[in-house]
Amino acid sequence: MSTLLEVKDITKTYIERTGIFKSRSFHAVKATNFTLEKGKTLAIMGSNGSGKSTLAALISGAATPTSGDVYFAGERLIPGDYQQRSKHIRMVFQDAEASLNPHLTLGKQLEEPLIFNSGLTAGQRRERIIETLQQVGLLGEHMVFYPQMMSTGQKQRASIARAIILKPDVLVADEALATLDSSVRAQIINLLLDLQDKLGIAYIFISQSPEIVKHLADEVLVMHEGEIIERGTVMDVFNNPQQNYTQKLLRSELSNAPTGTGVDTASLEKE
Amino acid sequence: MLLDIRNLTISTNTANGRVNVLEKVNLQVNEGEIHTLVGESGSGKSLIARAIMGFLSSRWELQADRLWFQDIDLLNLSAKQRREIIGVDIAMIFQDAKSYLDPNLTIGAQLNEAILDQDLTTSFFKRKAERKEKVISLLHRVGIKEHDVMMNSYAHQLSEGAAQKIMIASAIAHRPLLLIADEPTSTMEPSTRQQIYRLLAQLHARYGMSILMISQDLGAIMQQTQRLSMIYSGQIMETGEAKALLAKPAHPYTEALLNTSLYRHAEMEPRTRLPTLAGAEPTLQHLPIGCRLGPRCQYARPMCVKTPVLEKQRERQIACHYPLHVEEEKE
Repeated sequence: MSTLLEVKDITKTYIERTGIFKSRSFHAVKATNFTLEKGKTLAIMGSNGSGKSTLAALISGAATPTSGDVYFAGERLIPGDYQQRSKHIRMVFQDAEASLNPHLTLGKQLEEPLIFNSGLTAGQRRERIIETLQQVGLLGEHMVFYPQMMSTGQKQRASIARAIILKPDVLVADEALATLDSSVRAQIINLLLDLQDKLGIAYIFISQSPEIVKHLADEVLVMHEGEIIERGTVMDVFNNPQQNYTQKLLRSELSNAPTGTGVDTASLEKE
Repeated sequence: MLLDIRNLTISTNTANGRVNVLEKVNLQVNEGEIHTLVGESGSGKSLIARAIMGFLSSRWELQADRLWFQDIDLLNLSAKQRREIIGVDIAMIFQDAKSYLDPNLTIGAQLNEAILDQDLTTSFFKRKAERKEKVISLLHRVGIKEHDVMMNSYAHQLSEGAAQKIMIASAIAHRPLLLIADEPTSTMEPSTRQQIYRLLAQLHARYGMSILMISQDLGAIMQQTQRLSMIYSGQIMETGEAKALLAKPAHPYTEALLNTSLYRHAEMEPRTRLPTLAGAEPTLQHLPIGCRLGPRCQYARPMCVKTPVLEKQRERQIACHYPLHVEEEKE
């Protein structure tokens, strides 16, 4: 398998000025390296403030790295060159409600990336929009819909459509499933898996939920205070976590699972 | 019975005429019970909480056969009388705790406000000291040990978990009989959620406080939940003892929601497609007639256009013409 995406020594430091001459720096992401192969899924886990969202922003180009580079198929991605980057890497956000523009119909929102980044004619653009909408389980008729006319699940589908309309190779999903209802979440998980099988997109999945990571990802990175403290295949990390922090992260959610009869019987008997 | 709601219907006017957002909702909370109400967004679960607390705006019209708290009929109370019950016996905490705290006051000052004069025992001159003592003990009760730092902090300096603890502290200041928790942990990360659940379970065990927990995810409910109610699109689908209900769902909706949750599939091969409920939750403008799950239900039959009544069937209440697992139990 060829390496699709390579992240080399990327760092992000925020500098906060605390006085005229004084400043304090905060290392959100510290010298991070990883690679991603075509059609694979990489999950990034960590608690709030561990730098995982910053890392996602650095890869997708939403933030400029302090140092280090991102290479796509051997080619360096220049920070600020969105035309180059957006053809390869696209992002889906957590809050579908807020990430769509309420003033534009869905058709217009999907057309914008095509106008800026492709040489398609108006007719071809229309065809591509209808094709993409069908890929995510919507209909061509949804082109004339405004975001507020759709349900949450449809909105998340629409934002996935916007992400894949340029036929990218990498999709960065920053907690894209976290706020969804469980029935909608299952639909979106199925959709993402179908799209990966059909289009061969590689995913970078930022998530706090061990279940989702276990179900979707091939490899996992665990981040803590801006550093990757553990990495490996999902099987290895989940079955045999080396770091205390990882164990805690994996346990916190799993212990709460009502596995059919998993309601804590000990506490019931106490009553 | 602590809280008894019978046939609560809440309606509002839309462009397509009058719509029953909640339809004949029955909900009972017993004394000393943790009751979880599970429903997806837009199912009207927060509306029930607001109806109990009495802060529905005038857009909503409320009808009920019964809305009783202990032996008090909440429907026939004046605003002032209701205020007395709500401030003291029923308390509520919300999803986004930080936005419910006053940004201009320190946490100490806000908790001070939550303590009523009637709870104080000392003479007028010693009250300031007693109030401070009470605030500190409240903070200790919700597991915050560094009370001095906390009392001098402002809301923006707190983490989400700490802010929710402050909300809980001010909610339990009068030892309420019922705490309504409207998705208190849905935006939190898993480890913080566990902390809050543990705290609520402790308060429940220590003071016998009943909790009506509202949750949108069947996979992230409190372990200590004793009873579960499922609500879909304004209709209660199933109510019963939590353990039994999760083990053997009788309503197709409960089963479908359990199936979509990944917790149920711990042994499942990665990357398999999950069973889902087809389609999306209906909008207010296009509510189906009869059982509102009908169009999405895989077991639906022509009978389902008639609204099923919530009926008692062996320790459970089910609103379905064709409940699952019932026949096999009869044999």
